[in-house]
Amino acid sequence: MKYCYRICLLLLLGLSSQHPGAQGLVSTEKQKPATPTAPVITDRAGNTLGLYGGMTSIRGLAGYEPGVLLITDGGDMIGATLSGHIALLERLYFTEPDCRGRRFFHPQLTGATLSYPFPGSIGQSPHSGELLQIEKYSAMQTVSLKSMFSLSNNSADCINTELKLKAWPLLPVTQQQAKQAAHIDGSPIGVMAELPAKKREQRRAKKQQQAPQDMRTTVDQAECSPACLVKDLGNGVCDVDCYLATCNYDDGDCDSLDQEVILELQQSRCAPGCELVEIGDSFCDTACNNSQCSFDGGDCSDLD
Amino acid sequence: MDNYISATRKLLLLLFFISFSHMSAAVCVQANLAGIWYLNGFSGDTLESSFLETDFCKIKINASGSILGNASSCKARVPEGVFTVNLTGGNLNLNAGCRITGRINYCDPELQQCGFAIRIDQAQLDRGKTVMSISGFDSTDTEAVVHFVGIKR
Repeated sequence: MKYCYRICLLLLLGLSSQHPGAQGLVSTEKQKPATPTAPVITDRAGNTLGLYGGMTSIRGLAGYEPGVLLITDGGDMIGATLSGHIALLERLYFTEPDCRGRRFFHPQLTGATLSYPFPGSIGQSPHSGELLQIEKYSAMQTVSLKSMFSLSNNSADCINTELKLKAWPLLPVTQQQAKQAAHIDGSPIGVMAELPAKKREQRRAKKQQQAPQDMRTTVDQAECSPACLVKDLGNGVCDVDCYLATCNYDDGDCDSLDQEVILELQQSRCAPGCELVEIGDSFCDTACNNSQCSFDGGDCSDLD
Repeated sequence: MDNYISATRKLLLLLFFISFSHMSAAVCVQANLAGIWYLNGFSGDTLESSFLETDFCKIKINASGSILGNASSCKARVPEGVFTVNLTGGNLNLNAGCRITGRINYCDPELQQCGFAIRIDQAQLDRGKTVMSISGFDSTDTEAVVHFVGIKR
C-alpha cells in the first residue's frame, strides 16, 4: 500500500497565458532551458522556465494538506492532495495584468487521479489535456511561483502570493508512452517503471547475451509422470509421485518404505501429480486439469 | 551437600534437555522442503530503486529438492498488467541449520527467452518447516533482486 498512493485531482488555478493577467506570474531561481517539444512558460523577465512539478501544501476539502503541484503550459497549476479527497477544480481568469479586469470562475469536479509524485510520474493537464511527466533522473530545483489567484469561489479577493517549492522539471509525453508507463485504471495518469531506453536496451542485451544457450520454453528436466523427474529416479530418495509403473517405481527408492504409507500418500492425489490442495489455487496445473480433479477447480479456464 | 549436588545435577540435566530439545527443533532435512509452496513477494532493481513488481508464485518441490517446472509458475503484477512467468526448474537445498540455497530457473516473459535463473543465497525455513523467507538475485543481472515469503500447503 505504501507505493499505492492514489490521490484525486483537487484544485486547479488556471492562469492562462492567453490572458494578459497570466503573463509573468511564474519565476524561478534556477533557469532551465526548455526542450524543443515542451510548451513554454516564462517569468517576468521573459526567461524560459519550462514546466515544473513538486510538493507543496494545497487547500483541499480537508483544509491544507500535502500535495503535488504541477505547472503546465499556459500557466495552469494543477494541485492534487495525497489524501484522495475529491474536490472542486477552480479556474480563474484575469483579463488584465496584475489581477485586474474581469475575473470569473469555472468550477469543475474531476475524478482524475494522480499517483504519488516522483521522477517518472505522469499527470494530465486539465487545461490542455496534455500528458506531462516529471522528468526522470532530474534534480529538484527551487521554484518560486509569484501568482495571483483566489483559493475558492467565495473569495473575490485577488491574492498575491509567492510560493517557493522544490520542483522537478516536467516533460510532455505521448498517450502511447503514458499507456506503457502508467497504472491504467481508467486514468491516463501513473508511474513510469521503465528505464531510459538506451540504458534499458543495454541491460536487455547484456541479459540476453548472458543467458545460457538452452532456450527451451518448457521445462529443464524430463518427467516420466506428472511431478516425477526422470533425473531423480534411483537417487536414494523416495518420491511418492514416482512410485508408478511408468517410472519404474522410483527405481527402488521407495522399497524400504511401508507400501501402505505410500499408497495412503498417493490417495491424497486426485490424479498423478495433482494434490487436492492444488485445485482452485488460481494456478493452472496440467496434472489437475481433468475430470477426476474437477478440472483444477476452473484454474485453467481463466487463462487469457 | 549431597542434596545440593543432586539438585545441581538435576538442574544441569534439565538445562541440557531444554537445550537439546531446542537444537533438535532447529535441525532441518532436505525432505522438509518437499511439497507445494505459495510465495508472495516483490522484485525490483536496486540500482534504480524501482520495486514496482509484486509476485505470487507456486513452487512444487520434490523430496530431492528439485523444482518441478511443469507445476510451478509465478504471476507477476507490474504497472503494465499481470504476466505469467514460467518456472522451468531448478533446485532448492536445505541444510541442517535450515538455510536454503539454490536456484529457480525461469523464462523472461518480456524477452520471451528461457534459461535465466534466480540465485537464492539468503533464505531460511522456519522451525515449523512451513514458512520460508527468501532473498535472491538474478544470476545474469545481479542488480535485479527478489524477496519472497512462502507458506507450505
